[in-house]
Amino acid sequence: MSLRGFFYLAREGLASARRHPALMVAAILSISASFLVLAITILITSNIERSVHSLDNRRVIDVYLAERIPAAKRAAIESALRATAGVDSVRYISKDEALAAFRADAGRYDLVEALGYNPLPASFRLELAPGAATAARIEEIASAAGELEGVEDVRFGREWLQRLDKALLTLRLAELLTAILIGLAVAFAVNSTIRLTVLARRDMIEIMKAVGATNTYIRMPFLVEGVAQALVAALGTLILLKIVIVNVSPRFLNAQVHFLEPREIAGFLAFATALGLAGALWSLGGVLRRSA
Amino acid sequence: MIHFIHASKSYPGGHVALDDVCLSVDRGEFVVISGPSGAGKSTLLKAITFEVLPDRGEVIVESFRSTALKGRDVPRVRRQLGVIYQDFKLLKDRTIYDNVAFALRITGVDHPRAIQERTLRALHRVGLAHRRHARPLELSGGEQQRVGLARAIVLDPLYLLADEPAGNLDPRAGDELFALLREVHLAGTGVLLVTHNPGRADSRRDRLVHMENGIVRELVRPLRHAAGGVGA
Repeated sequence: MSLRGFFYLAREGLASARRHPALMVAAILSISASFLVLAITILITSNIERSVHSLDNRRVIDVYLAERIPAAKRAAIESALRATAGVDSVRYISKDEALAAFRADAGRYDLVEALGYNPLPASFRLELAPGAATAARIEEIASAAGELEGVEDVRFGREWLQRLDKALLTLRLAELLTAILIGLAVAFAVNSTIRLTVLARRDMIEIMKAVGATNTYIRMPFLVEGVAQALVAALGTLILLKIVIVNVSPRFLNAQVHFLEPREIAGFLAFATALGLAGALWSLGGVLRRSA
Repeated sequence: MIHFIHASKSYPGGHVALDDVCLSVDRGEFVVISGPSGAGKSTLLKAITFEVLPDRGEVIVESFRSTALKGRDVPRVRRQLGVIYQDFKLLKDRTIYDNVAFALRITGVDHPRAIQERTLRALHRVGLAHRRHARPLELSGGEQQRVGLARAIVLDPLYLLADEPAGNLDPRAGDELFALLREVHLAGTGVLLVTHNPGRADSRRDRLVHMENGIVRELVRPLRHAAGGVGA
């Protein structure tokens, strides 16, 4: 099919909106309602993930050293830690620095006066690269650090990290499930509308078949119509959501709500396009099978 | 050539529409098919467009055989056939010009000049070029059927299939339409005309075929076509 032919058929599909405006508006509204549920789910997940990423930045592992460790051995441990995949930075915290930090936290309580010596060990604080901040990877890095000679103990928020990862996984599964359910609902809505359009334009289809139009030519206007419905509904939903977030949410919510990121918007529109196509193809299958 | 080779077709419920039909039609023939309602005349035309496939036997249209038909062959066959209907089947929300040009556009002709030239030529042939901006419902029944004829011939078909084309027309409009069908035939297109009224046939030039209960019987065959090809 030539480009000119494609544009002619696309115009045919879009002209259907002018010929059956009530049908088109009803379809777009019902699809928009489904998309709104999906967009809100993605928005919630996106905002939680954004918060979790900022927590990720604070994901650290503390590697405590044995007492009176020679400087050469300490340097060797530092080199080994720096060479570990997923470790972004390594900072040495001497016994004195640890004590100063303790004093800052504990206020007036003087540890040295109480014990007669500084019991806090020197340590290395590892900050992890964002991609390495999964519970499993942190466990691996900590375990490798613990096996280095001269290392006495390794500490990190194991349980807290595992709970966070589980919660994120649950959230993503919920998002996926919502996308599947909404996908079915939208495909069904597009399918129903295109079916009605097919019924309203059965004369045209009959003529197309009679003069020898191929199935691709017969399908094309309806596919364009299905995609247009889904895309208009998706864009309308995003615009509505953006208006609500910018103008309404600051008055009712304490937390700042971020709108979807460009890649999420692109994914949402691509998903809408696919659903529009699927719904239209679904409704045309039967019509074209009867075209012999 | 169009060949029916012992072709039979029954519909669910047992109605026999084609009963062991043997019939051959040359390019350039004018064949008048008459018979009572339910005789199988429309099914005969539908078998040529492969809208209906025979249960037994075979239908061959040019190089396409019903027994070896692939999905992509059906549009290719139909582009060699023009069809006009009793109820015209025009798109009422488009102009006369667009109704005719539509047939070109959806069969892959997309050069605007070619579309314009061929559409206007077809409308000239049926005497409606001056009404090209009108919509179907602004025309009389006879004019609407002439638009249907223009749409059928705009693709320069080898055969024109006309299924009771004058069924909804007054006698004068019917006469005008048959005169146009004669012109299309003289220009080299084979015509298969289904009609209740065999009086339309010209016994010197036309083949007259009668159908009853799915059986085809040749009544009149002009001398130049008498060599063979029909059985029932």
